[in-house]
Amino acid sequence: MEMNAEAKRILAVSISKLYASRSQRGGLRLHRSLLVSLVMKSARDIYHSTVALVEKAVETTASTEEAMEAMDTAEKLPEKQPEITDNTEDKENQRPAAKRPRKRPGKVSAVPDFLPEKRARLEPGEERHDTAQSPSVCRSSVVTETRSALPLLSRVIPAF
Amino acid sequence: MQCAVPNVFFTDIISTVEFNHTGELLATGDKGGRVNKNPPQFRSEYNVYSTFQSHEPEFDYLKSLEIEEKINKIRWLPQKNAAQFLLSTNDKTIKLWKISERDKRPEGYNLKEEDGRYKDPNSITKLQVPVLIPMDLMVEASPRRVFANAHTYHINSISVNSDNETYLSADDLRINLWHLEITDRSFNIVDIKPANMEELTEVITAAEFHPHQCNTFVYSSSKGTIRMCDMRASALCDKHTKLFEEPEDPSNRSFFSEIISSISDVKFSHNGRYMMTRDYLSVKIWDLNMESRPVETYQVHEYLRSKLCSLYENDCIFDKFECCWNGNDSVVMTGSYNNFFRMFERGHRRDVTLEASRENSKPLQVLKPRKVCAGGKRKKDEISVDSLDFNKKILHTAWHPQDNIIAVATTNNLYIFQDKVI
Repeated sequence: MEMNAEAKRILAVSISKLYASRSQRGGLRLHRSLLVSLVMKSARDIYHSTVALVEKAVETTASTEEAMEAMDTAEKLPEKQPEITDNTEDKENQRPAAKRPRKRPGKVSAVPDFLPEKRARLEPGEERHDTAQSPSVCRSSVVTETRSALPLLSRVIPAF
Repeated sequence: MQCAVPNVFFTDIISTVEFNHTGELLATGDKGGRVNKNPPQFRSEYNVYSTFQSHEPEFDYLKSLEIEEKINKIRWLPQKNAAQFLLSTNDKTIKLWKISERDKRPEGYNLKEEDGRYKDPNSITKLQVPVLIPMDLMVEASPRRVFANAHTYHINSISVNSDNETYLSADDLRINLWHLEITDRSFNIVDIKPANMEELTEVITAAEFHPHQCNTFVYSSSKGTIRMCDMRASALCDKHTKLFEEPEDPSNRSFFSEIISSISDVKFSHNGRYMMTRDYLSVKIWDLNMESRPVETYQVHEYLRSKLCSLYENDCIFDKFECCWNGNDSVVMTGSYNNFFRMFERGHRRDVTLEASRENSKPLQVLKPRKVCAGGKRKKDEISVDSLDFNKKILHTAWHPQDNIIAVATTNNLYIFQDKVI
């Protein structure tokens, strides 16, 4: 989890660097941008592998629980059938949350949680919030970039 | 090392330092596009001799990009006559400058007065021969050639060939070969740009011609490799003749391994047998006959390995340190942080850390070796890693080609040191 947090922090710092380099004098520095992208790639790989491990662990736990429930429900199945029939008749009156949403999942749901929220850019000299950290992890300032960093990320990451 | 001269102060950030081939002159370039020349009044005392504006800020209207006037590199040409020539480059344009002295002026014209007004012809009764009389030394710098529009990416290196007729210029993805007399064309000799830029994995970081073999040059990459090319093999030297690469130590793997392995400078030794590379944490000496690993490795500031995350955040990890050889290739020198610079004596495997600062640089004062405490109990006179000032960095150093005189550039000061005079 510590590795995951560090990977997220490095990703956020890297994105802000790439974004800031667009406006620096002399234009985008290819060498520097490449190095930042390589760091992002490493951090992204660590982050995704950590997330995958966590999801796998959750799935394993959930499947174990489902198996346990399946064994329980198998015994109760004859009693349950009338209830299913009732549910079918009452489908239209089911809570909207139980229904599959009609709307296509927007980009919001696909956005990883390490990307910064959309809010106004802080001016230099304004307060930055300190994040909780472990001694071995570097501090990072609050990333105040807007969602326009997302296309930057999508352009950079597929390259690697 | 002994500080022998007062410091020379600049108002702008120094971006390059270079002695000429005799060591008589020292040129520095700065972020404002100026080149300063410093000759010695007497041995080891250098004073500002001439300053001229080499490059001006420009604007690329097609790409809507500003082109900085910062001087990236200066290279002297071997002297052929009374005048001196040097190449200076910013991100996009290379210029050849002629620097000449004038210390005499003609006097006694027949048709003109001293102030330049023409005389009345009727008042001329005799014929005299104009004579040259001494005047205050005047240094003139005039641009003789402008080599422009050949680089899409930012120029990082220029190197004059030993044939004294050609030179190369390198940007992030290409290397071009120029003739000093021809400005409207150049030959592209290396091109590592991929067809699809999304497949880009490395860039060129430095390039240099061999000091004696006019057909050989090397270029370093951001992946920590050095490629040697022979221009006789083919017109386009995309295929290297030698590839110098050291396998990475897996135990040192981290998020920032790629960054710290990127080579920031490559320099051939004067004898042409070795080359030296500088990456973020170390200096490596390579034998040109052995590609598998360097023959010598010197750790410049290994104590920074545990601080890479912080150095990444404050951008210091992207600093490009240069390195240099002394005249007989027995000592190498490079810079570090806190205005420290390091010298490594190859034969005796000794090293020393010195500091370039105003407090420690009184004339004729012997420099005291400095030590950084990496961990544990800090001894007296040691400085802890956390106390290092990362805003004070020495990126550019130069060594006199014959004598033990060094030029060390801090952010905006130039220090000249010499070995103890017996």
